[in-house]
Parts: sequence; structure tokens; C-alpha cells
Amino acid sequence: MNKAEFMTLLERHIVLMPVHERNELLQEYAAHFEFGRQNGKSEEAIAQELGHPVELAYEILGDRYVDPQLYSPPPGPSSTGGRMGKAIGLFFLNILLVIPMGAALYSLGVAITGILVACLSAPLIVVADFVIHGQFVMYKIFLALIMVGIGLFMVFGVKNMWKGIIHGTLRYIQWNMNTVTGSERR
Amino acid sequence: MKRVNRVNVQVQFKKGVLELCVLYLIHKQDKYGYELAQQVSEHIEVAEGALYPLLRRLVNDGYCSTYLQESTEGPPRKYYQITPMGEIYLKEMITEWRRFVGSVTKLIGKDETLE
Repeated sequence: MNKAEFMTLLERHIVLMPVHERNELLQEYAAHFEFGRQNGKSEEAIAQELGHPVELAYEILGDRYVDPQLYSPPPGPSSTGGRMGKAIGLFFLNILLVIPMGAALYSLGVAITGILVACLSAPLIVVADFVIHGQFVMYKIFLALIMVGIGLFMVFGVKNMWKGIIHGTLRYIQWNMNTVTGSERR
Repeated sequence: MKRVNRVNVQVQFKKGVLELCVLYLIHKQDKYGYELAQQVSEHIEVAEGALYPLLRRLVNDGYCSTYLQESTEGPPRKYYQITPMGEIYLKEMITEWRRFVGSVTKLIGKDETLE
């Protein structure tokens, strides 16, 4: 057992101690390792001399000792296998569900944006119509004005929509990466 | 015949005696944890890690106090110092120990058939 393993195991088993006392005690053990190292001992040898962390935890807490398995799940699978499993799971989730849905969402966004562009460019079309046919048609002008109105009305909605879509996408990518690497966001 | 587990008996003995030894060593001179562990394990075979909970108890009971001292290399050393209350307690323990050892020696001392 090396220093890191010793400290992790000990900490896990005395987690019920008040945090201040616990840190103080853990510091003593960490310092013990340091002093031992200065005396030319290996981490393994020092850990051996200190004794087994679980027995020490029992010594420290006495009657208050509770097996950590009873109140907390064992540390999450950060093993390569666990990560692989998660990555594969996410891969299928993404391929089968999230990417098609995402594509649909983006298409909808593009379509709505298309409508917006059409509305706002209606006067240009009227001008083009005039250039080609050489005459103004009243109802076309009115229609174009109405469409510009609708377009202006839509601008903010569309802007917020894109903000939401992009934000959501980034959040989802972040979540994917966190899940695979095992780090948690709190 | 049932064999008594020698190691177990030793563990029980040591636990009680360890407190006495540690307090005595601190009484001789202020010491930090690692130093203490080295000196104790010179005399008694013990899981050195068990010293720290013991030291904590001694501090909590008011028999020891601590102070930090920076060292040129390595982490700061947490020194343990005996308190007046600790001195009294140590005296009591030593008296008690002598009496106890005396009694036990008297009880089993002359029986050579058990050696």
C-alpha cells in the first residue's frame, strides 16, 4: 500500500469524524509519511509500520466506528473499464436518440430563421417586382409591410431560440465529457 | 487444550501500556509524532499509526498540549507537551503500574513449570 492508498482508505473510514478533527488527524499521518520518507523509507514500508487503515479507523473512532459501506456507496468506477462502458452507453444514446433529435431541433431552427429572413426581405422582393414589371401593386406593398412587422416581431424570439439551442448543446457536450471522465459538476 | 492466541494477549497488554509509555516519553521531552513512533517502536512492537489516536485522546483529556514548529525541510512538526495535569496522571499511572507488575510477579514469579 502506498501513501495515497493509505490516506484514501483511512479518510474513507473516518469520514464520520468532525471535519476539523479529521483533517488534523489526516495531516498527522501525511506528515508521518513525509518524515519517514526523509529517513529514506519507502511509502510501502511506512504504511506497513503504521498498520492497516481500517484497524486504525476502528482505533480512532472506537464505538462510533461504522463501516463506510453502510452509509456510502463504494467510490465510483473510475476504472478504464467503467469509463469504456459509460462511453459506449453514451455513444448509443447519442447515435440513436440525441443526434436525430438534435438534428430535428436544428432543422426547425433553420426553418424558422428562414421564415424570418423571408419576412424581413419582403420589401426587397416588392422592389424587385417593380423593377421587373414596371408597376406598383398596392396589395403587394401592404402585404410586404405586414410581413416586415411580423419579422420584427419574430427577431427577439428567434434570437432567444438560438441562444437556447446553442447553450443546450454546449451543456449536453459538457455533460457527456464529465460522465466519461468521471468528474462531477456541483 | 485450548491455545491462547499470544498475539491477542500482547495487543491487549500493549494498548493499556502504550499510553503510559507515550506519556512518559513526552514527559522526558517534548516530541513530535514521528519521533515518538520511532522511540516507542524501539521498545514495543506496535502499529505506529495507533499512536495518533492515542495522542489525540491525551490532548482531549487535557494531559498534553500541542504546538507547531516549522522545520527547514519537510512539513511543520506538531510537538506534544505534557501538561501539569498530565504529570499528575503519569505519576498515578506509574505507581499503579509498579503495584500491578509487582502483584503479578509475586503471583506467578516463582512458578517455573510454565516457562
